[in-house]
Amino acid sequence: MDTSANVYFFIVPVVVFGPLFLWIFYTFGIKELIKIPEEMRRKRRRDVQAAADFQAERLRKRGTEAVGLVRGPNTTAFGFFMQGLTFLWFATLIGFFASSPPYLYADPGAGLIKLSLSHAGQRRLSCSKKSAAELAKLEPNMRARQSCPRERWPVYIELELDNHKLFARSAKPAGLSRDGPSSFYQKFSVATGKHRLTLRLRDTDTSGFGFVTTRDLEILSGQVIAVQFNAAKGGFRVSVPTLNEEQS
Amino acid sequence: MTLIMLNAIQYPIRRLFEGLEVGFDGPFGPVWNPLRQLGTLAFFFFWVAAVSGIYVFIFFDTSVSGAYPSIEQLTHQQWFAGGIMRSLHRYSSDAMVICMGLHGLREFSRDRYRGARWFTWFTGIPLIWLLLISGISGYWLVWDELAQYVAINSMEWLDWLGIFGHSVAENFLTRGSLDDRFFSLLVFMHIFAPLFLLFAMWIHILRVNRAKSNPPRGLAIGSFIMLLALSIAYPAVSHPPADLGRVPSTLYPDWFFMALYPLFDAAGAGTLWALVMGGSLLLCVLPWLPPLRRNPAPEVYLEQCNGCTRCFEDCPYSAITMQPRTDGRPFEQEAVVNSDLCTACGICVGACPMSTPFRREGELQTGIDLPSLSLNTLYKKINQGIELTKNTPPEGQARLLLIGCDHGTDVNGFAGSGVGTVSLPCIGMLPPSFLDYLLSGDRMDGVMLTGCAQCDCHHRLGIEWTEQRLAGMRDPYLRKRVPRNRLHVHWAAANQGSALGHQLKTFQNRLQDLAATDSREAK
Ligand code: HEM
Ligand code: SF4
Ligand code: SF4
Repeated sequence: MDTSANVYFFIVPVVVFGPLFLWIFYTFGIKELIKIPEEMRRKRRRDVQAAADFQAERLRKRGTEAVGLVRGPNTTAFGFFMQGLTFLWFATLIGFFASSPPYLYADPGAGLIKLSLSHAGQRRLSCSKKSAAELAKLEPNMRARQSCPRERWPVYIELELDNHKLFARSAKPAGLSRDGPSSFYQKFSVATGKHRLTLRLRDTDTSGFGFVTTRDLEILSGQVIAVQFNAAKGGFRVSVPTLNEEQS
Repeated sequence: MTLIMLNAIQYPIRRLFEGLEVGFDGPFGPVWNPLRQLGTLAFFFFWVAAVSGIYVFIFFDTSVSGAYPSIEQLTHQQWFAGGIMRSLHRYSSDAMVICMGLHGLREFSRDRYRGARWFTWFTGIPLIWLLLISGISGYWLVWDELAQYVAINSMEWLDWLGIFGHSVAENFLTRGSLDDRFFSLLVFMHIFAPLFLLFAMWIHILRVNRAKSNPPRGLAIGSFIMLLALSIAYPAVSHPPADLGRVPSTLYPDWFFMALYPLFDAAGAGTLWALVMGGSLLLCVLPWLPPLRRNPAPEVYLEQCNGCTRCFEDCPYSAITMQPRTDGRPFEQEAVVNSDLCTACGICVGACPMSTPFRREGELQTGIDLPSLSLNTLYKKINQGIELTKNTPPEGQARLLLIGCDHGTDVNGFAGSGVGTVSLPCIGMLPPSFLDYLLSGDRMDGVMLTGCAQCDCHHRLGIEWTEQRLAGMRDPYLRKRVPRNRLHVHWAAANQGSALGHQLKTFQNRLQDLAATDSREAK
């Protein structure tokens, strides 16, 4: 990609929409709360001026008159030295915690199976055709030829590793009328080595499973095995990325 | 009961801060003391991050495959400019987190978040969120292993809410899952979050009259040199490039932004949501746990007020407005107090030209007066102080009045042996005419003023106004005829009692010498 084109791609919306966005936020949200009267604004400007005058006067009269009863910044060599030390300490604090101590996230003796899928279960009731008499009773704009109750069955999934059930759960369809897809997102840490993975899915009220897949895997350290699902493409898809072994 | 608990929590934190602050006053001087400038420093670090961020962004490739190499190139080929800018960008953000944390904690420990100050506290809470979001989203853009880890965890955390209709984390499932469009979304987040942050920072200080949002120049220069040196000595670098087919094993997180991620790994999204929402909610209601028992706001006495606007100018919390005259007297305006914003500091009383002890008869009356400590009561207290010093056997000792405030060193502990004391809600409440009254009429040999630590007035502006009034640079002035050598000012934090005592002693001795010279000259 051409970098310079990208820059404009981002800067233009920010320049155009940023202020607009803030302005809308300002106008509708909190304008009343944060209104500053003009008088107050003028006052603030005057105060800034007064403070500047005071500083100037203090410098001019330092040591001779009451202006500057207070202590100024420490500008002695020793002061600067100690300030330097303080800053050094602060910088060390920032520098250290910005990238340490290290955090051991993944277990080197394991890989990861990620189950992430979303699938709509079957409708609870199949659609029925309405008779002509039934249709005639309805308002003209309501005369749909079919009536389809929207509610779906929950989706049930089993994940089995080496004949050991790691996961078995059913998920309700999304949506207020329970007509959306059912979603799963789950991670399993799995020891490296050979495994047999079996996946099953049921999306109706019948017993048995509409979709079953079995895969033999050789799981490597740190490998992410993704399990997805697409009914139209034949059900489960298990992605096994190739890892360059020397690298790990 | 809650109050006792609250004090028990606040007290040790406050003492710790006070100790450090006084310690830093030495090498820095109060003006440059970073602990007294935490809010302004946070602003400063924001600007450093903004400028360096714009530079880095110019060279940044916003595609999934281009992002990492573009940053690598910036870091290594262009280390002298882009690399330093990148490090400045990272470290200034980290410094901002530190300053923000300390600043919030400090305001809490000093009890400067309840009562009228709730608004500033309350609007500080979104800043925590926005700053963390800004930083975390920034780490995504590098698209290295750390970015991968943080992005996936963040998305899984968001998914827990179930408000996006489908899983956002799914965008990171396999090597092919992440597309440029989604990545652009992340880039947008990193640009808009800081913009909102800036906007929210502006709101945060909106109610604060004359808020300081820039640190003193010397401190800014020092902080910048520090960041620059750190950036050169220890440049920010990336992890190995992200690979969605592999789980990153060892990470070097930026703990200032990512401290909660291991908790997410260990305890899960629900727990973390409960924790951060609970924590934020607690912070939100903190100003009312328990509510501050406020002293009543001052009242305006129109028969005295001539609409001169001085109280309006000096109020540190913009609690006074000038409005059209309602009593028919021939002035344009009158002062009106909004008690919701008022902290009952009394600074307005000190600003009013009608606050003078030179009255021929009757009670003292002024244009604006505190019900909890009226000018007349103050007058009586000062006279009591005078009487007190007369009663203690002088033994040739100079008599002086020590006037302090309720938030600095407790002055009442110094009463006796020639010293009378008066404590005010804020030293800015003292009208300069009272000094005239005390010193010009020879009612006292000397007056010593104290308050909070310099640059750290509990009511923000009391010290500044007092200094300017004494210097004859702000209305109402201290009159020229007042002998300045009999007036001494020493600002001291609550834990600097011994230093104050020492100053007091020295001043008393000086006054004695002065008296001796005077009497010799008189002969
Ligand atoms: C980005 C982070 C922040 C910045 C840049 C910032 C900046 C500031 C500034 C400039 C002031 C005015 C100081 C003055 O002139 O007197 C202030 C006051 C204050 N801040 Fe913040 N702040 C931040 C975060 C927070 C947070 C997280 C909290 C607590 C939740 C907080 C609580 C307060 C309070 C209570 C005051 C009022 C003090 C008073 O009214 O006397 N701030 N802040
Ligand atoms: S008492 Fe303080 S906060 Fe209240 S109106 Fe007067 S100056 Fe403002
Ligand atoms: S300072 Fe006093 S006279 Fe002036 S406007 Fe305020 S109350 Fe009125």
